[in-house]
Amino acid sequence: MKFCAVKQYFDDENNNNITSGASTTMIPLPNVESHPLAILITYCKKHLKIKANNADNKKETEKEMEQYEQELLKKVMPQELTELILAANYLNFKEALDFFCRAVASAIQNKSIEFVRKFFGLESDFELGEEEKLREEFAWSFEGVDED
Amino acid sequence: MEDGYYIGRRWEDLDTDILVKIFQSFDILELTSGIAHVCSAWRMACCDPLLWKTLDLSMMKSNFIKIPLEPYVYVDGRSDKILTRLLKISMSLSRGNITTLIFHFNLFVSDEQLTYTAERCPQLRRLVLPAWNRIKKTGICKAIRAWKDLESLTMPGIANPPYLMEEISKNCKNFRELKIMGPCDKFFASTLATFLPTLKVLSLRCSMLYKEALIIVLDSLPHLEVLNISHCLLIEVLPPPGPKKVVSEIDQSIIEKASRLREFLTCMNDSCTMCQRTKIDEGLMRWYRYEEGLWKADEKQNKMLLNKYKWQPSLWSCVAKDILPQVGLVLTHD
Repeated sequence: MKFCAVKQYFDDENNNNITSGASTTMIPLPNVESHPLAILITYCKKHLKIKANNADNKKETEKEMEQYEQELLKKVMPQELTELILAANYLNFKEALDFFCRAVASAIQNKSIEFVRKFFGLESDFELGEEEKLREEFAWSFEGVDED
Repeated sequence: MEDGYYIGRRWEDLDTDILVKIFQSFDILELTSGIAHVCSAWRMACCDPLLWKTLDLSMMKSNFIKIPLEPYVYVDGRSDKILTRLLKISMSLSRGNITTLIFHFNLFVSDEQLTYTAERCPQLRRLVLPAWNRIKKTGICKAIRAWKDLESLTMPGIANPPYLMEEISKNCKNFRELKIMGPCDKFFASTLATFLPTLKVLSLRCSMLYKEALIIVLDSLPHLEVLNISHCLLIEVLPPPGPKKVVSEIDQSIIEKASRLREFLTCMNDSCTMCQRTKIDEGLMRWYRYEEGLWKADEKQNKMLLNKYKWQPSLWSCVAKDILPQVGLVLTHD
């Protein structure tokens, strides 16, 4: 099962002997926004579909998945990647987490420190003295950086 | 903006594990390019031991020219500076957690760079040494003394091996694996027998190997389990006035001596590309001429894969489908 956190919920419910006769159950996911969740559900469905279509052919599955992932990346805003990672992590959805981590790594590769901070909404929390020392240590690295 | 701030807060609270996962796809140049400078949480993630088990610097080669005087190479100043800074940042972030360190054979590391690095990798177990030219005897000995846990060494050939082997035998009690990328003569083999009698794995592939050296290795290394002499140019020195002769096949006496080994890896085949290359390069392989990274390959690694599976006929076809492609073979029928 892909959404392991959801599976856990079902397992817990069964242990509490709640009869879920209804086909729709409300599962509380307080830490996931609706937008990334929708993307993850689509990703999951697509993954299972591709897997079913290429039951014996692992290579074919991988190839099709790669193509789908490339297409998906084009539609997703870079900034949304952080939300998707958080959602995939909360839901314990390993494949999606791996994929989005790789995507983020590509997005911040060879970019300046300021770009990375803006991308993730982070601020430098080094003390003034520390910041100076680090600047010295990393001085050489400001060459060969891509344009933001 | 409210939303932006909220996401920022959550990202900062995020598991270091996820940051480490992202950083795992970076190579050493990206990892040391300023990622550790973003904020303190990121710096902490950059120092995670998971990222520093192996430091692979094999993409770093010196910008150099050959010169007729010692040390026979001149390394461009900028190229040297870049290496120093890379080493300083790596040592700062790795916090003594490096267990495998890989240099390129065309990286002309200075004494200072080597000892600086050695002192900050006290847990080192596996090492692929850089070019020797600028390293002095005192430098390499100081480095070896810092590496008490060293188990495996790959090194370019060396003219005067005894001092190095002696230092290893004194300081590295767990030393068991040696790969030499250079000629192995009687003197070298005797040195191994004297100072490293507990050696378990020896690879001499793609080099000039004197038959008498091979015999010394087989006779005088009682704990040897794996010996790789694939694609070697095997040379026999006939009594004078006889010339040196290239041996084209391994004789029965050697095969018998080698039968006690767990693995005796050989390849002496005129139609093998690697054998041809060793011949053309006269036993001193010019790796820079060939495919990038080719120098890193070693047959003994593939063999170890096969040894992982116990021989059971019912398992054969499953095992074969996994393993055979990795050792360059194909299953022709089920």
